[in-house]
Amino acid sequence: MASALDTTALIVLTGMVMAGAIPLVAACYQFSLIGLHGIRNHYPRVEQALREHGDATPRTAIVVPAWNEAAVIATTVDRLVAMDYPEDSLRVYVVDDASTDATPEVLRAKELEYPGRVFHLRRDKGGEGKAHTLNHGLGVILADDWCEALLIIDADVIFEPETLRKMARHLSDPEVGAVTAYIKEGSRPANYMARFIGFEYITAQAASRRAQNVLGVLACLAGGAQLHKRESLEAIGGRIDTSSLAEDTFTTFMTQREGWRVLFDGNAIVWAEEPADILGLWKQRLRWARGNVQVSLRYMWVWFRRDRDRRLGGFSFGLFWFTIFLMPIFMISASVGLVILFFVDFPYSWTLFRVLWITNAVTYLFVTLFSFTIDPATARRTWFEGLMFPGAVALVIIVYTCFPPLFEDYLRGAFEAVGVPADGLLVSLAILFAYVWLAGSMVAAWAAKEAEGRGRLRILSPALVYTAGYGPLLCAITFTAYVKEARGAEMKWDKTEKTGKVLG
Amino acid sequence: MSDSGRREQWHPLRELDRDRRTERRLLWKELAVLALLVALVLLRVAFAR
Repeated sequence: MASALDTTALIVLTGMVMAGAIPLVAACYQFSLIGLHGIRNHYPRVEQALREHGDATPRTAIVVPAWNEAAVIATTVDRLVAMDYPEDSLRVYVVDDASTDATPEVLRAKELEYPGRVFHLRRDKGGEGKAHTLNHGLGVILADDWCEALLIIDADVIFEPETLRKMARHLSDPEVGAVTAYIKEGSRPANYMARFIGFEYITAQAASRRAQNVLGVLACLAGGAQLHKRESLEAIGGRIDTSSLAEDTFTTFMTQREGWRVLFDGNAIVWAEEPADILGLWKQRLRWARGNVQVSLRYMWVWFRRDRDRRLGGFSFGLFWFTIFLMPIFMISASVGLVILFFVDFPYSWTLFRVLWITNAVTYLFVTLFSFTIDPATARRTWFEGLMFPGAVALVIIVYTCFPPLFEDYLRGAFEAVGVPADGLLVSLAILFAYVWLAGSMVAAWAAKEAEGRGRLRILSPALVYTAGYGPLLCAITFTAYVKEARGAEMKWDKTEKTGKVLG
Repeated sequence: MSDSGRREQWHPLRELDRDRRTERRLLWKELAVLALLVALVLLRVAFAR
């Protein structure tokens, strides 16, 4: 059969299959940088500044966009004013985006409780999105020369007492324009989705952003905790971008384009309430993913062009960005390549399949085990979801590719025990299923979302997520984002519903 | 608590030192995980023989 394929076709198909390994190799590379953060971080410069200037607590205005946040805003304000930060260097501005619930009353009470420290800024026309709300607040705050730094947060997040000063200490470096913190999922009780997100945030924040620190470039200042030096925010116009769904990523890119350094401090902790179900996650992440499509296109001329931008144009940064951004394409490409090879050159397809999945196994072990050690407290709550992140089916394939003889004997025995002959057709179908699974897992994850929206089927959706995997669920959302952007679908700011169950 | 009271408690350099140690530990954790992975691969190879 091999002769049926010319060399070019074989190279193309091999490339299609091995494209599935690109995100895996990139993940290993990214995680290998994290250890370097132990010896290559910003703390020596902070120490130098602290020794020279003493404490680093710039006068900070906290901007809190709020739309119908009556359930959470009082706690948020109380926690903010109680932070370990000089009282005369901290002001809280809550920008009420024309809330229709009890938010205005709650905020008026807080203004009276903390005179001169808490300010209620009311927008009469709301619903335009977070960026517009923030800009209303920024306009008021920057009109006054009191503040030296601005902390932009979400209404539901809970800062630990020392978080702001841990972030602020980095601003003593004249090169640093903005700092972000480690957002942790804080819903209690934490359902399965909260635990998946908790583990995801170890990998996507505590791990990835440390690696980005090592590279000297950050992909995103978390929307719930971004501390800007006044000059750096003014350098980008003193406003947040309103043209996209990823205003925090655009702000991050624009700040770095202006020559400022942007940092992540993994020891500054912020707790947030994240979506509790698939539909909520889908809505939130679709907005993020569409925003990332917009960022990718807007900065098309910068990627992999270090001569155009020393930070954003770096190869490693581009590799990390695009392996996440194009993950669904890589997965579909690998499956399509394997299925075609199955019919034209099965032995070769089998070899490629094993190479791909053994790479997957090594990456899975490295990323999962290392993530557990990066944030052991979160790992204790989310270890099962961490292990199940790729999904039960993918784990079975991983075990099979690592230990085929054991598995084959067991499977044959299992089939024979129920009277089903483990013949050629059954084996072929099983192999085809495994080949298709990289792409098929996204369809299964999408089915989990569909099931959740359909009455009695809702009960099946958690099981489907554990089966298909949380990672494939995120890939399915990214793929949907491509489609929505290609169709030019309307950009709506869908607020994530918050119930105030963050304990922090 | 007054500002001066808080400042006395803060010890920014001590806090910084603690965070630096946390970061340094990541290097050792990474090496430990990599060592475990190498051991697992070697075990698998030995098992195959």
